[in-house]
Amino acid sequence: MKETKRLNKDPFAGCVLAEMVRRGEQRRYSYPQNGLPKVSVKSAPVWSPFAEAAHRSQK
Amino acid sequence: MKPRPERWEPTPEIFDNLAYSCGEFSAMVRKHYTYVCCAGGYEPVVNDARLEDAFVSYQRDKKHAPKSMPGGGAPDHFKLGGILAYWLRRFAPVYDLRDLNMAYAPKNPIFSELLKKYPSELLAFDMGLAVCDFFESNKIGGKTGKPAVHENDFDYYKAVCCVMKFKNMSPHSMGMIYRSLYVPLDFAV
Repeated sequence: MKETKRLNKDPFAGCVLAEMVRRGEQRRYSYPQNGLPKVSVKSAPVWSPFAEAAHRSQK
Repeated sequence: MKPRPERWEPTPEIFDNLAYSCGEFSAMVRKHYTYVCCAGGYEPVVNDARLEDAFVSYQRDKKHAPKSMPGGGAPDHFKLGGILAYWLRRFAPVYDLRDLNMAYAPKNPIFSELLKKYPSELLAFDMGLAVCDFFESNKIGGKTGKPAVHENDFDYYKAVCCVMKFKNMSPHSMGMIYRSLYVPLDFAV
């Protein structure tokens, strides 16, 4: 009897996400993709750790 | 004696140029690879067919990038750099290294060893980092700075190259690595 009562009870009562589903609310996901940033130069010598090492080795 | 390789200069249109022609893409990659390899005392031997494959795959991924994440929008330099590095690693256009016999300068032995073990991985990672750095270093507004990795952090490069070679990486995970390298650390107390 106790077990039936427990099963009849809403197992998701008080659960935030279940409540959202019940209300038909949707979670909106988005990944921040804002495109390429504006840059202040027209071109610049390439920089990377190994390009820098190569640059120094040539001096 | 061969002339010294020139340093490549990225422009703000770099990602558009990459979408423009395979010839420009190949020339850019060759130039950067040749420049970087000379620090290790080598000249890369590049396969054009593999470069073309990398170019076509890069273009396809770039086209689908806005739809590939929830929320849409245009991909940023980290994501595009990740896509670029991923396909350059995957198709491995460098299939051999030619010894320059110290034609330009004494080579860094640790870098040379790393280059011999992981030529495609190391050069692809460096290429992606170079294009990310161009935008991070020159962007208007916001904080700019160099990545949290130094050329002598060989353990870091070994780890990255080994994972890129033997484990599953995606263009997204490559992009996240680049993004992580530019997280400002000045919040530390």
